[in-house]
Amino acid sequence: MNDILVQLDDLPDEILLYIFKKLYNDEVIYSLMGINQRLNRIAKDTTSTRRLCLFEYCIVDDFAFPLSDSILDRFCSKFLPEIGHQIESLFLERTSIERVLRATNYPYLNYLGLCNINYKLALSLFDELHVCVSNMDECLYMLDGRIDQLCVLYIIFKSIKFRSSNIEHTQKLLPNLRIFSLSCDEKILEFDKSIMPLLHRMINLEELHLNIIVKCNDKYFDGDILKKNILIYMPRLHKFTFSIYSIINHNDQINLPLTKKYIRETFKDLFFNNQIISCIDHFQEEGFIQCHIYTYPYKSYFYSNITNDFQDGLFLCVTKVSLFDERPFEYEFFP
Amino acid sequence: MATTAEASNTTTGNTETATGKMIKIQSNDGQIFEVDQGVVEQSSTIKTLSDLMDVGDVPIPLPNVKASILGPIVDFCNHHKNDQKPEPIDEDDDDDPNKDIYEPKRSDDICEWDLNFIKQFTVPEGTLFDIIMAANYLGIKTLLAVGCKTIANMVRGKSSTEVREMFNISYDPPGEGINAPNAIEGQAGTVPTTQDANATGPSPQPDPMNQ
Repeated sequence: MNDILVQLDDLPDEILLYIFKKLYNDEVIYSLMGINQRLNRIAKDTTSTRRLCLFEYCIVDDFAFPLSDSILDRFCSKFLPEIGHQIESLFLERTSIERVLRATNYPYLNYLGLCNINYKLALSLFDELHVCVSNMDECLYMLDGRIDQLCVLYIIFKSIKFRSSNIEHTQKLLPNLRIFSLSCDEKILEFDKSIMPLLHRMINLEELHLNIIVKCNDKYFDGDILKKNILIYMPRLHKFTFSIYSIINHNDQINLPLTKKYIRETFKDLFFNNQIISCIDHFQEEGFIQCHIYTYPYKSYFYSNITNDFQDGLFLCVTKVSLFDERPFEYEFFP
Repeated sequence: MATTAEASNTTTGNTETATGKMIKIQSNDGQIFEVDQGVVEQSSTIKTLSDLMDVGDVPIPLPNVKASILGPIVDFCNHHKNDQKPEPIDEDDDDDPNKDIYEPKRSDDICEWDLNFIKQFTVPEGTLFDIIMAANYLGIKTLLAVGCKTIANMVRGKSSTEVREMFNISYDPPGEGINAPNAIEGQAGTVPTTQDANATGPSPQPDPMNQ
């Protein structure tokens, strides 16, 4: 019987994966990526690339040691440009942070761990943040002065409720903030106490994007309200896009006319080069009015409660929609 | 013609011993080994076959394992047959978000006997991979782990060039695989390189509604 010489490359995928699991993800990538197509495919599997730690951690000393220059060079020049789009969690040591972050884009990165670096220095590395926060507390902690240099901030709120009753708005201004975007597809109950004081601190804002649903008591959002409560505090603002839903219960009294013509009039002095569109829906059975005003082109990721009054158009950024009306829909939305 | 090897000093053709019923297994080159229940219990393949087949005195054929590998495997199982059963480990826990990224990978926990055992198998002769393949085929998890950890320890810290040389791994043919024109650049090109600064939507941020 002739023996066939078995090599590493002859092992089935499941055994290779088992071996790879005995190595840290950075070891798999460094040692096995680029050998040949098959090992490349297994090494680039998301289990190896989703979480990446680019330092050596000594559990005895509880200290992170940087990778050698040659290894880090190889990661920055070869591996990270290939797998950057697969990385969701990244753990870096102080000396390599800038090199690694500049090596490629990380569009799906949602966790960044930094070691051997003090908190202030870590935050000073970033002048632009795109974050998702769970509640108002997290947002206020972030903007309590610890990231003063921040110029661009995109926040998606899961909820704008306060989690703790102790946390309060600081009066500290955010003079460096130039662009601010806030999106929340959950109804905001106390806009005046939560979002408004935050916006008033952004005195040098140049771009504002608001995508919100607000429970209103005695008024709804129109051009006048936006001017009086928000825009007057931002003298440098030159770009403003929004999608704002005002939700008004029938029990609440509003003293302003609620017509598209009236809303259009309130925006006539606002020159942001955007078309303003309004949709007003009265829901008798549910007992509330929905007034949706938005700038077009539409920039929000959600469009809630599409009704029969839905205005035609292209909604390229929308990834989440809901339909609601008390009258049967006249159009087939999803033929 | 089949030959019979003694798997332990106490077995010379008897089918019953103090450790229970003896079972015969046969390598693909015809050599027969007699093993006791302590060995059988460690191999899910042999155990299943012996449960399914009323083999009597007929050896269980193991067509994927040659005698030069099966013999040491029987030795390994004999050595470990009185070990405490390890607690089941979830090998697919890399997706666990609570898993500590710094948790040491356990490839440094091979006991001394196992280290000496695995040293008899080498990469140039291909026997290290033979023993891994056989352990996988026979469903002997402890031996599979020892073999795979040994390979992992050999790979650790080596560059891909060193790994290629150490394991004699062939390049993809010219113009194919990772040698294909623009293969790597093409993959990298699928990565979005800029973000739409005007879009206020979540992309490429995670959708909070899906978390």
